[in-house]
Amino acid sequence: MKNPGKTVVIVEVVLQSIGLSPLLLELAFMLIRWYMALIPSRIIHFCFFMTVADRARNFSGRAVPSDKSTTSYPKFFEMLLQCTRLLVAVAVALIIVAGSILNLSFLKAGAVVLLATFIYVACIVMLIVSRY
Amino acid sequence: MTAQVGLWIAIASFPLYTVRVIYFMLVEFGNVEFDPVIGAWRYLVCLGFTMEVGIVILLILAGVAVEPWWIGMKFDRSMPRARSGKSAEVDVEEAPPAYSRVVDQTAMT
Repeated sequence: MKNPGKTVVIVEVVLQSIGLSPLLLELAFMLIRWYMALIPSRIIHFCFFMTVADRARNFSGRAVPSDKSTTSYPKFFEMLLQCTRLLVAVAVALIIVAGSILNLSFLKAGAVVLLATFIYVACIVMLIVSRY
Repeated sequence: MTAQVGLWIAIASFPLYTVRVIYFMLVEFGNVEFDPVIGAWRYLVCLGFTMEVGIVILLILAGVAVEPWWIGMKFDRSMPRARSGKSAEVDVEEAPPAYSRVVDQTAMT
């Protein structure tokens, strides 16, 4: 280690770049928690195309006999929100590799992936707001 | 207070997220003065740290709205009483419930 100050600067840059990723993860987890709290019981399955009567019956907390051939609990939003883990992991891996091999393009690629993650979560939130 | 409030509080943190992401982009692609290591610390404090504190507070409030902390408390678990204070004595003096009769019948046969 010829220049310890350079190492400190590299570590600072890498940590500052990673600092945004847990915030995005927490936002996605919070939306997943809200989505799971929307359903009073995990036993209940409701239609994806749900009428007003189905909504009133299911959200009143009464159990409905589950018929998976006709009804299914929609996990699309949950699955899309879980996919933010992958994006954040890819971004963190890119940034750590950039700090390891001292490549600035990897760092910028990781930053772009984090920006894409934020836009992705925002688009999912717009979908959720348009539905609920 | 419903779970829907949690969604709106989480959405209310989006302007802070936007400012934080814009600061992150400035750190990565902008001028050297936005660099938290060798640049000015005021950008870090005003655009980064403040926004992070606001985001964390809003997310904690959203979590409380989604999964309330008063769910498991005593006044929430308490069942409705019979009539008034003497519920235990009333239960002793009343007739036994129906399942005891059923059990006696099965014992006779």
